[in-house]
Amino acid sequence: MRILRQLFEFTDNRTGIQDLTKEALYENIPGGSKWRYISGSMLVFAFATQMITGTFLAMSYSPGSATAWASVYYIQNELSGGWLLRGIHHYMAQAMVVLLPIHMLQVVLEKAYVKPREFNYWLGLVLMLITFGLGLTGYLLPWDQKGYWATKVATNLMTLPPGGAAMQKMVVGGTEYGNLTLTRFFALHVLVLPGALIGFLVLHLALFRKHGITAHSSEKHGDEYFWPKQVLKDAVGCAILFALIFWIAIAREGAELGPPAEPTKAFDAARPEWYFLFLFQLLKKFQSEFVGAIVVPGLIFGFFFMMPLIAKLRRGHLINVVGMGLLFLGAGYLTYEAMQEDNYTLSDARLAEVRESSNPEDKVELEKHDKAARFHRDKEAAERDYNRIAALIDYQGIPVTGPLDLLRNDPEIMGERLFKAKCASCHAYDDPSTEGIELGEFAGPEMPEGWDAESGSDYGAPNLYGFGSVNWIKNVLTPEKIKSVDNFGATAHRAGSMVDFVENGLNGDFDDQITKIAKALSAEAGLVYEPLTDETDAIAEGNELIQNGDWNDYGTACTDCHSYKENEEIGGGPDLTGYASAEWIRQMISDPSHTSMYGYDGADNNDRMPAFNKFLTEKEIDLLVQFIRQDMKVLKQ
Amino acid sequence: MSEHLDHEAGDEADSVTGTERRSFLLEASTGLIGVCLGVGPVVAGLWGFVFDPFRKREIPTKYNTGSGDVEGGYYFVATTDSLPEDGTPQRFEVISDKFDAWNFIPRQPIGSVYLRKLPEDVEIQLEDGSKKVLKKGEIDCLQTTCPHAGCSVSYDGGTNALLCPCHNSEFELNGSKRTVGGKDNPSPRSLDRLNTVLKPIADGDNMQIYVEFMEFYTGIHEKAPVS
Repeated sequence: MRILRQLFEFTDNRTGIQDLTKEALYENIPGGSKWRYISGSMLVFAFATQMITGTFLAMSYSPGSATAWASVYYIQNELSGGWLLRGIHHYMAQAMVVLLPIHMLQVVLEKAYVKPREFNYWLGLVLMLITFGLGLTGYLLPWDQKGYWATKVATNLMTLPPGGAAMQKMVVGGTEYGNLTLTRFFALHVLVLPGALIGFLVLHLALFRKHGITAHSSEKHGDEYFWPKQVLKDAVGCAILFALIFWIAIAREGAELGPPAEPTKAFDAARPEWYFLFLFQLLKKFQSEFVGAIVVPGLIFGFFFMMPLIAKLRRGHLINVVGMGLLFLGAGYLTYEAMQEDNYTLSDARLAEVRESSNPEDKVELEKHDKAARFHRDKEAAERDYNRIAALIDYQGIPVTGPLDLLRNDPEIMGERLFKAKCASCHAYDDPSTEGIELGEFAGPEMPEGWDAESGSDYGAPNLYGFGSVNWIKNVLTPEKIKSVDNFGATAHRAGSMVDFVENGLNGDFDDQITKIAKALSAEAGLVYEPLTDETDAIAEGNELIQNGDWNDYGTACTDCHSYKENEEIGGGPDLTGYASAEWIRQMISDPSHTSMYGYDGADNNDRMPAFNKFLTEKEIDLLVQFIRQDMKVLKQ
Repeated sequence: MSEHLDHEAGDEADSVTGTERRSFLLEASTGLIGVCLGVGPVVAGLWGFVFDPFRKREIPTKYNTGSGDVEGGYYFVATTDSLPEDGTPQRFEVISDKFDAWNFIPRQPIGSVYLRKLPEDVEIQLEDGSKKVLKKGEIDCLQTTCPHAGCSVSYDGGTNALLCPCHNSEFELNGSKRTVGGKDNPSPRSLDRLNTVLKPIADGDNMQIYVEFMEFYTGIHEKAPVS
């Protein structure tokens, strides 16, 4: 159309855009366009994609220790298309790291790094370092456990070279990781490093056009212009790259997000992103961290920088190619080795063998297995914590104080940690209906070697899983079970009056009565997972049975030794009113010397249960109580 | 350099028409792929940018009791006891749970209203221009947001009006615009009236006042709720 042509000429006369475009597009490629030339353009495309996805992510991300994780959770789970945005950004970053050695290899093999192109090659190395910096700074931003601990290691290593401590303070924003670390890393990741990358990229491209392509004309293929054939090859390469990343992002439903960072809880499964694993592995090979983290990588990068100068020597180019090849292979091998170490699992038979053996080599194998097992256990626990926090967020939203608040007030997560620290040395917490110890269960102390029920020491305490449930109470009233280690078996009470009563007074077929009694007492507990709303008759009958003794072989009523409801007189045994209720358990944990816990002999009748009101805050005891009772295990839908 | 190019361009132009056609297809497909590649990430980003602000949020289960203060957009604000018989407007905050992106904040002020127990029959003008009479003793509720530019009006006992401090809009107690000393009132409409529902409390005449609180667009003649 005439008007378009006029508009175009109007613009061109004043800007010279046609000549500019011609110069950009009609660059001559001796020997024609080639597929192996596409790696550079693919890197530029990958970076452009990162800038676009990064910009949109920055519209929803908030850098601050109480908001970072929450905003990433929002992007991942609520923002329309947020998960895809995050997925593309995460996997394209890794694509850039993969493309870098490919591009470098192609450039070196093509001899495009020697005179006069040394500076351009060095600019390329700088671009590679900036890309690694982008990966490092980006990994911290979600402020999840893995990002936090992985980056902490990196910033700790930063103190090794001279002036390192000062550098660390500047990067971290102080002596501790916190708000300022996030704001600084965010500014670096979003403004400083991309800006530097663009700057160096412009220089890199300008120098590249100045010197022209290294390729040579050949007879087989005529020379071709950049446009359209090379551009087409570049575009196809980029399209395949994008399709691949898009597919990975969809298949994995976006990038991973771990549980929120906890500065006081070390994370055994902390690992840098896979492309830094070779450095992580390298570090383990050297006694001195300084050598492993600074000297060796420094030497390797020094070699890369020296390569154009080495090329001047006889066979210099060959040395460079072989050296570079070996280094890449070495890095690849170290990456593989790191992954193998994390997956070092012995078969059950072999595991039993090494546990028994006293051979030092076997001990080393056992250590490797245990280390890998801890890694996997922590990973599993992290996933479980994340899922629990997601459920809590559905249930009550994220408070302004941040996701850690949710975590620290959750009986399931915190109660379990407290149980492990304070109770598990004596008490098991193990669901008898499931085999083995699941995550969240505790095995209780190991039986001492050669222990027997008659003469063995008091080494344990009851299994508290399902405490106060009908089944749990029934087990106490069952002759075959009362002396198991799940009940009184590992305690001094195995020689006490309750065991005597059950073993000798309940020997007949009293299943019906003890079921009713168990239901009546369980109703006192009021457990969320066993509401007993349909059992009013059984409960009423149970209450009757508790208060009269005609039904058992001893002719003893429970209330002969236990106070219960109207029978207020404290007996030799615990008060059964409100048995296993929150208040009852709170009393037992806080101060078991109270007569309502062990009867009128109080502290004298108590075996080894300490009074935890000296060691735990009220809040902590509350969390334990709710954990034991599983009050918050299922959040209302 | 340009000499070199002209020479090459000349070569291309000299070749058979078949080559030119192939070249066009090549160029077109290259351009198309290029455009698609650019569009992909941008669309992914824009999707969230454009559509997310329109999303409806679900209240977290713990606070979504389905009863209590918020019933179908009505918020409990005050009891009739707290309103003076002489019809002096009283200002109340409206409390509700709030979503701020990833934060859920329960029990936050989301706005304020003036409540008034009418001392006598009052005539008001509705949006469609028709008039309505509110009876003595009824509760009248006005949004405090000035429809001009969004500042908060406050009651002035001296002039018995609701005044806006920003651009001098003034309103009668029934919300209608007041012209003062010939100066025109910049507000495009009268103060926005909100619906109320009264719920009796167990004993006596005291009732709970529930207000259908909402925000309206400022700067326009119509009273249009923000959605």
